[in-house]
Amino acid sequence: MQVQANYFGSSQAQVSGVSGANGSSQIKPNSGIDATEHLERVKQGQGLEKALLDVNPTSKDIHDAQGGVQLFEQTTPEQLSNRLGAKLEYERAIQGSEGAVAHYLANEHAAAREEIQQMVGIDTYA
Amino acid sequence: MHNSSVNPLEQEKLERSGAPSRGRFFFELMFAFLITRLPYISVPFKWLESYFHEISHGLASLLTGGSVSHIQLFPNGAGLCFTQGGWPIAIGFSGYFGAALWGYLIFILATWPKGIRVSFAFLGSAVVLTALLWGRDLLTISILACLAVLFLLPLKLNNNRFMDSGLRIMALMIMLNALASPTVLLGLSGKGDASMLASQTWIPAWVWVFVWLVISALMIFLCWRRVDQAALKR
Repeated sequence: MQVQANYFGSSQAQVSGVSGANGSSQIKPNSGIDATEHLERVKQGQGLEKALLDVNPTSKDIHDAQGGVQLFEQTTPEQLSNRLGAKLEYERAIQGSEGAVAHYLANEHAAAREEIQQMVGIDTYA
Repeated sequence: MHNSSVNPLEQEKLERSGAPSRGRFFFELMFAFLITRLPYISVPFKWLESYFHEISHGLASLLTGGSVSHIQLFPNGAGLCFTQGGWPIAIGFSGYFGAALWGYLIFILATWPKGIRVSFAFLGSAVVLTALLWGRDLLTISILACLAVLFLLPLKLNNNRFMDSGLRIMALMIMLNALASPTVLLGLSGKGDASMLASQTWIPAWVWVFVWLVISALMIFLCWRRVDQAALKR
């Protein structure tokens, strides 16, 4: 069921600017209803729930045929997971760098700061 | 049990001394030890030792030509003294040494029955003055306010004898905490007064800790000696 829900979401978005499912190269804005009807027809014609999964490549072919049509990005759970993983990895790497930078800044000119502290600064006794 | 060899004037002087009996001293010492070991109840008395520790750093700084910026006290009994100039060795050494010395001085004040109210008022005023001069953050000022209450509230009492005993117990707690605190430094590497002194003098940190322990123990022994001598003269 989760796959199905994803499928409808993505297919509606993909075909929103394409007319019909017959391979016509005519682009008709606001023709998303036609695409949905086509998908319903495919579903009814084959009578298989699984067929829904194969519609995406078909849609892709249609769009590729259009040439200039901008495809919306498909977001499957795997892709989302991969993107999230990459983001986390990136953030982890950034955090490590920030720690290194902070460490560098803390130690940078430490000797000079110590010297200034000795001269005019405040000493701390615990 | 009056000693017949003591002349009447001296006898009167001794009787006016607020030095407790030996048994009472041991009782007070045990009581002070018990309080320093009790959770929650011991907390304000830890602040007391911490306060005298930091104030000693500050006074040493002033005496050696430096100046004090401010002090910081923390609820767990830790503290910091921010100074400028002065002789670092004297300032560093004075913390634990000063706390023990203050403990002994307060014990001596507590054996002066006629001056017990003056002693409490003096100590309370010192805490208030410290808060005004060197207290900068709200937490430190709150802790100092608690200590001021600890010293000034007994002035409401009419029973001077109870006040004597209370001040002696406080003094013993300061000394006991001064005895226990330096041992914590043995577990810290690169931190604390002992480490600072070690870096300044090349004398190992454990030697400084040992010296502070000996001084604190000596102060408690001096208190005992005073009590013992007073008991012998009675």
